[in-house]
Amino acid sequence: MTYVENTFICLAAPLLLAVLCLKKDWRRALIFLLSGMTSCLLSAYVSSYFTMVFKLDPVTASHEIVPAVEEIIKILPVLFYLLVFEPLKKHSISGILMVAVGFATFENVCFMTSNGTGELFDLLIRGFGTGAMHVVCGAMVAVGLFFLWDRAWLRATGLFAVLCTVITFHAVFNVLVSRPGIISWIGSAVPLAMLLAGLILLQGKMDFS
Amino acid sequence: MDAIIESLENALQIAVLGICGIFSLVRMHSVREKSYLLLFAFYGSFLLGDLYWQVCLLCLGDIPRISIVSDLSWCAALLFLYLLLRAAGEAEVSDGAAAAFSVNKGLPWLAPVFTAAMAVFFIQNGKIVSNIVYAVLMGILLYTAVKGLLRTETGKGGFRLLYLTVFIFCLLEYALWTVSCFWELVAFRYVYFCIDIMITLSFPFYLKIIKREVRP
Repeated sequence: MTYVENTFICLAAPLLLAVLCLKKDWRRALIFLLSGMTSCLLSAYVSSYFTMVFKLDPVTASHEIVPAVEEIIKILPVLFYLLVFEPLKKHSISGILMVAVGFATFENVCFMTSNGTGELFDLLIRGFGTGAMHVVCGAMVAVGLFFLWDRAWLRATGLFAVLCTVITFHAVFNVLVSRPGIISWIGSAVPLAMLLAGLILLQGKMDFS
Repeated sequence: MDAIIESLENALQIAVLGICGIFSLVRMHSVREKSYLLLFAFYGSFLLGDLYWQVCLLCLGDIPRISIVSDLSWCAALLFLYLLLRAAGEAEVSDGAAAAFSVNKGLPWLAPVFTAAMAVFFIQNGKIVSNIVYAVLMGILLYTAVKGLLRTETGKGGFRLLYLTVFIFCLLEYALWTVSCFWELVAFRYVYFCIDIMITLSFPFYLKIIKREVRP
C-alpha cells in the first residue's frame, strides 16, 4: 500500500521551507512547483472518484477520465494567479511551465513508489516522456492564453478549445505508454520530439499582433 | 471488410490532416500570421480526435468506452474554425472589403434552427449532451459562414471562398452524421465512407484559401 499523501508531505516540506527563505522570482517559481505537485495529488483523488462513479477499471480510467481531470486541475492554480494577481505575461508563462514540471515530478515519484526503481532504462523513458508531455501541454495552454486573442471572451473560448485539445493529446499519450515495448517508447518519444521542435520553432519572439 | 475500410479511411484523414498541419506550421513560422496558427490548431485538434480513436482501435482493440475524449477534440476543432472565421471577418473589416449587410438579415438564423432540428433527430439515436453541444457549435459556425457569404464581395480581399468551404464542410458533417444513423444498412456504410473522404479532401482547401487571402 502506497500512501501518496505521505510522499507528498516528504517532498513538499523542504520546498515549503525554501519558499519562506527565498525572495521574489525564486519564491514564485517554488510556489508554482508546489502548486503543480498539489494539483497532481488532488487530481488523483478526483480521478479515483470519477472512476468509481463510471464503474471503470484503472487502466480504462487512465485513458478516458484521468487526462481530463489532470489537465483541468493543473490549470486551476494558474487561473487563480491570473485572476487575482493580474501578473505580467512572462511571469504567467513561467508559472504554467513550473506547475507542469511540479505535476510531472510528483507523478513520476508516485510511479516509482508504486512500480519500483529497478529498471533504469524504463524509468528514463518514463521520466523524460511524462515530463515532456506535461511541459508540452503547459506550453500549448500558454500559447492559447497569451498569444492568440485580445478580448476576454475570445480568450475564454480559445482557452477552452486549447484545453480540449490538450486533454486529447494527454489521452493519446496515456494510451500509448500503457502498452508494453516499442509502442510505449513511441508514446514517450512523441512529446519529446514536439518539445524539441517547439524550442527550435519558438526561438524567435512569438508576436501575432 | 468494413473495419479495414474504416481504418484505411481514418489513416488517410490523419495523414492529410498531418500534412496540412505541418504546412500551416511552416507558413506560420515564416509569415508570423495568426490565421495560420488558428488553422494549425484546427488541423491539430481534428487530427488528435481521429488519432485517439484510431490508437484505441489499434492498441486496445476497441473504440473508447466513453467517447468524450475524441468529442472534446472535435469540438475544439470546430471552435478553432469559428475563431478563424472571426479573424477573417475582422481582416475584411480592416481591409474595407465587407459590403453593407443590408439584405437577408434573417437568413443566417436558419442555420441554428437547422442544427437544433437535426439535434432533435440525432438524440433519438444517440447521446443527449454531446448532440446538444455539437448543435450549438455547428449552429454558431454555420451562422457565421452564411453571414459571411452574404456579406463579402467576390473581389480581392474577400474571404468568400473560406466561408463557402466552411459551409460545405458543415453540410458534409451533417450528411455524415445522418448516414451514420443507418449504419446497419450496408449501402449506407459506403455512402458514409464516401462523405468522410470528401471531408478529408476538403481540408487542404483551407490552407490554399488562407495562403491566397493572407498577405504578409
